[in-house]
Amino acid sequence: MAIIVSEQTHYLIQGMTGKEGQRTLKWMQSAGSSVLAGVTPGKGGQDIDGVPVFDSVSQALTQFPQINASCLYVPPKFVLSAAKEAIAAGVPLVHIFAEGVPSADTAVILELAYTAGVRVVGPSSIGILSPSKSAAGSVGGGDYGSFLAPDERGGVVVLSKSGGMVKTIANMLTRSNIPQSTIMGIGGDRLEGTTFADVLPNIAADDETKAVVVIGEFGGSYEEDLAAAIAELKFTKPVVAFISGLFAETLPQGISFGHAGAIVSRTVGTRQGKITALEAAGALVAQTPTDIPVILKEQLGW
Amino acid sequence: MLLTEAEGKELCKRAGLLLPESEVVTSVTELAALKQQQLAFPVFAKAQVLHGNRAMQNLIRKANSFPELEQQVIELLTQTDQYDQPITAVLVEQALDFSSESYLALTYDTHHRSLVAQYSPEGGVGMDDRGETLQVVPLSSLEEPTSFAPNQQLLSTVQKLWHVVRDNDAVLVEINPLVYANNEYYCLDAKIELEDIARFRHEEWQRYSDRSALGRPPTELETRAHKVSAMDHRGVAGESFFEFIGGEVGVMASGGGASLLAMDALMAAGVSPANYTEYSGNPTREKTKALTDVVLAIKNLHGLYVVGSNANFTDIYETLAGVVDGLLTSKYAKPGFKVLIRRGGPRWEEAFAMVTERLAATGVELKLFGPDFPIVETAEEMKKMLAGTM
Repeated sequence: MAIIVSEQTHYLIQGMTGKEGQRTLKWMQSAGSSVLAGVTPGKGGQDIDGVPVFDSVSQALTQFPQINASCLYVPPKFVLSAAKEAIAAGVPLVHIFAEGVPSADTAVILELAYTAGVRVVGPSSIGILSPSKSAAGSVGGGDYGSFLAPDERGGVVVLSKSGGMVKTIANMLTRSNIPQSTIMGIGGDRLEGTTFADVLPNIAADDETKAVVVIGEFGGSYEEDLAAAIAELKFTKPVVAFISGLFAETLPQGISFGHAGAIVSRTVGTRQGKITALEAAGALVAQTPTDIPVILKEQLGW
Repeated sequence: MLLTEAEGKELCKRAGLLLPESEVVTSVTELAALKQQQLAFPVFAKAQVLHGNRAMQNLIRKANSFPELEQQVIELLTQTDQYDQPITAVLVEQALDFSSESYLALTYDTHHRSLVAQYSPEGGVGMDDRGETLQVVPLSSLEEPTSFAPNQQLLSTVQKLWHVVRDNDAVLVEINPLVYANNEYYCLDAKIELEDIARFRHEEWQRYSDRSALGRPPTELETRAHKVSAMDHRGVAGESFFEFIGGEVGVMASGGGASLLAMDALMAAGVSPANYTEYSGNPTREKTKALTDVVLAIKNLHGLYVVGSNANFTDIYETLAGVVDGLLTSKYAKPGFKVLIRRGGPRWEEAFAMVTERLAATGVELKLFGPDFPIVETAEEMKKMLAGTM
């Protein structure tokens, strides 16, 4: 098994006729993903690499009712309307790649999605990859050989706000012969559709996943929410975390840098506050990313 | 983008919130004009700066007569704030006789993942100590609030603040204190932060001057970097650029998460960065060169630190070609200057060969690290490279 995406995930790409959309289509296809349709208003009837383009999400779903995920590759200012369309059409999983979506738009998208029971991943999410099974979005960038699919031991889930870090850490695990069941960039904005805590129940239920790696950073509450979820769910699989943000402590409050959600504060979302919360919940906090494979091997006996 | 109190209050006023009578003055001449308006004393003279704790720095002063006000305004307009920046505007505001002061803010909250109202019946200075009394109420972004459980009397105020947030792409509207006077609620202070990324739908923001998130006007290089960011819509380059005076190493980090890690590593290694900036999302060669030009315009650098994650889709060849283009046209393309690069991702090996070849004749000391090398350890490597130059 895997979490969030698997061989049973059938995609459409909104904005597929654009440069980024076309590139992502090729990558997703090379990862083995089932991409059935694309949507670009006004460009219905076209064909990109054998995948038909429709004018609307509902038209694509009429033709391919098995579609159960949409990846949004539209510019930030069009994300709200594209996401509304996917949610209204009842697509159960919506991945938003764009960085720079205003919080006001994200808040509306999330409100509509929660009401409709739709899972949103992103904005500013690089995507989700279950190696050898399926990829949603740009994660891996076609370089799927640098990930290691689960073997008889199973695998670990890698979660990060950052697209670059999720790949960097997964590659580090590959070099240490630690397979990955799913890797996922949740995005670095203030408001994210799916947080570390949100996927914990999926990980708990997935027999193939033996541990979780979480790469967090200062700002916001997603790491603290994860700590609360570990306790609430009585989550027993090892959670290995790394939190950056030492330098941020030297900067004035209110600054955000790196990610939109990485906002300096002396009282809320500090690096130390996150480390303390995670350790209290039983997570193992690595001092440096290079310690992560060492801790995982100790914990899993691999 | 943080607004000054006066700029923030203008948005509040437009939404129908009540404010004490006030006027902005930027010169003694403007103050003289104010004299004709028959001010009712006492009034407050409030320095318009982009950071808090003004009362503690004596940047808010009470005046009981015009001569007193004149003296306060002249003093404020001829002094600097805590960042040594000149004070260029003073808000002259009617003092109010109020019976209570509370705290009310609307912001986006990561725990609730929605807009929230934060309310405390205890307003005024020392918000950090208010913890226990602070109530957080999630608000819909689709519909105006129809109730406000912590204090129903404030519903109308919350509704108006909701419109300030929604109409202006604000991510924070903080009224502290919100006071009760003359049977009405008045906003005595307003801290408003607009979300820069929503600029595409706010032409009216052009009226706001350039400002740095560091609470001071941007440096010349910070302004230049922000212009690089606006060159085109491909990727991110220079959107975040902070200059740290006296730093020894120019920083060009890549990837939101990796850039934080790289800055942490430099700090732990005792290497002082001259700036923070980040490029990612596959920017063009030209855009990366333009950002490199800005970084290498910093004086007295000993090295350049180009560190990023294993990119998913950023073309490492194109972006590093931009870095080399910038370096070769800078004053630092000479023997003794240290350049450390750590990258992985599309075409990184091809990129490293190109960098090596193009810099060979310059005498620049170059160290290249690929995707297998830990990001954190690059800081120690940079420190070793610098050891001979300090």
